[in-house]
Amino acid sequence: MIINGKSYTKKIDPLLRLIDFIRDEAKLKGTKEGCGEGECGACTVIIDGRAVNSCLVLAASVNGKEITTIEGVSQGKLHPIQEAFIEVGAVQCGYCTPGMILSTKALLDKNIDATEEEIKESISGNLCRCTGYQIMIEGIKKAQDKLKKR
Amino acid sequence: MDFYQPLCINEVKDLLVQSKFNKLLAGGTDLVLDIKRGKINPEVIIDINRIEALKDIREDHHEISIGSMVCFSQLKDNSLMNQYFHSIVLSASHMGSPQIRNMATIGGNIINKASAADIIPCLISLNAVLVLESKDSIRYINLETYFQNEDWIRKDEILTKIIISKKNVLSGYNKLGKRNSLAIARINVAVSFMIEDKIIKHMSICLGAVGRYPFRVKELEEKAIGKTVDYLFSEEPLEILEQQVYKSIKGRSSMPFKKEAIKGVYKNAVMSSGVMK
Repeated sequence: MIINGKSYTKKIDPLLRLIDFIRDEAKLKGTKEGCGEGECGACTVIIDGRAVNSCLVLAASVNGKEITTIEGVSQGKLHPIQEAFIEVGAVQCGYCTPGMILSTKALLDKNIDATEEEIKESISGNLCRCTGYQIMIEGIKKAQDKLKKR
Repeated sequence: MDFYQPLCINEVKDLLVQSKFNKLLAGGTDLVLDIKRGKINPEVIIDINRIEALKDIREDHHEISIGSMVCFSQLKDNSLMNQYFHSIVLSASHMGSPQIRNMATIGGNIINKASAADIIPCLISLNAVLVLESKDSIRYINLETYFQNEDWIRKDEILTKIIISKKNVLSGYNKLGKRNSLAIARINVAVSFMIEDKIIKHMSICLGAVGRYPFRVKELEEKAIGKTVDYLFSEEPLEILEQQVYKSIKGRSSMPFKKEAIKGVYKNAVMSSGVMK
């Protein structure tokens, strides 16, 4: 599979989950495991442009596909979504942040003009237990502005 | 443990004959969890995610066929679904989270036959037919019959598509969950109607999560025929639904709540169909 543009070829246990491949084989620790049941969104990655829970995907199943993790979002410098999250203070403990940013990226890559309703919907599968969501929504709106100006 | 990734349906049929303790991997949102929890331990996993022929939604003269590997995001955004089957769009939009909708498939939702499955009441109320294929046969089974007769898919079969007639129906859906997103339905109701000059010519209603499997309420469907649409909000339908829920789950602790709650969920489902406009 290709993670953040880098190709990985490995013989693996067919039951290995994608999150375990990302963290233990590719050694990319930005993808977090929260509930491990597809409820919290901490393990969100983007596969072929769509946000998915990597705890519910078998690594063997995405053989040959392109996967983006949080490490692939910034290229040389922080992505505008990351900048915006920092600027508005949308990060507290940070555990949900990678998943939150990837859900946001999946949305804004498709629809830069997303409405507040669409923004809320897009992060509805990502739980945050400390920040509250309002400030993240502000961050996402700020990211929209930044991306439009780019 | 063997893992296969066939590229066409015939290859799947061959694999299904060869291996007894197999599991088809569709969206994986249930299967991967079941494996993790040790609930199942298949000898063979047949991953059908690479079969493009199962991901199409097609329109013919009289019907729409939905490939079994169509995911909920696709159902929600598809123009044919939006044109013909409003209930499916509503149900797909409220299922799980965006991530789950990008993975979970219509076929997986049917074959796993959860009592609270989101899409099944809609498909039953729209009189959907399953196409089950094996190396030697093709079976067409009405989805309602599939559940009533517990005539489950055989080990050598794959669900390839779901066919729905596109005759001019209005349809609606509502679900009651414990929270807005990621909620598993506590009750869900799907309705469909054919209306002429405000008179009900046909009604189909299916209730989910109030019994072992979703079921239709024939008594209400029959009584509604020939009446004006105002009948739908009169006392009689509400009493029938209350009785049905009582009969279906009378031993359960959730019964007193659900026999009342069904009325509100039903009204919302009917409203969402646009039948009163």
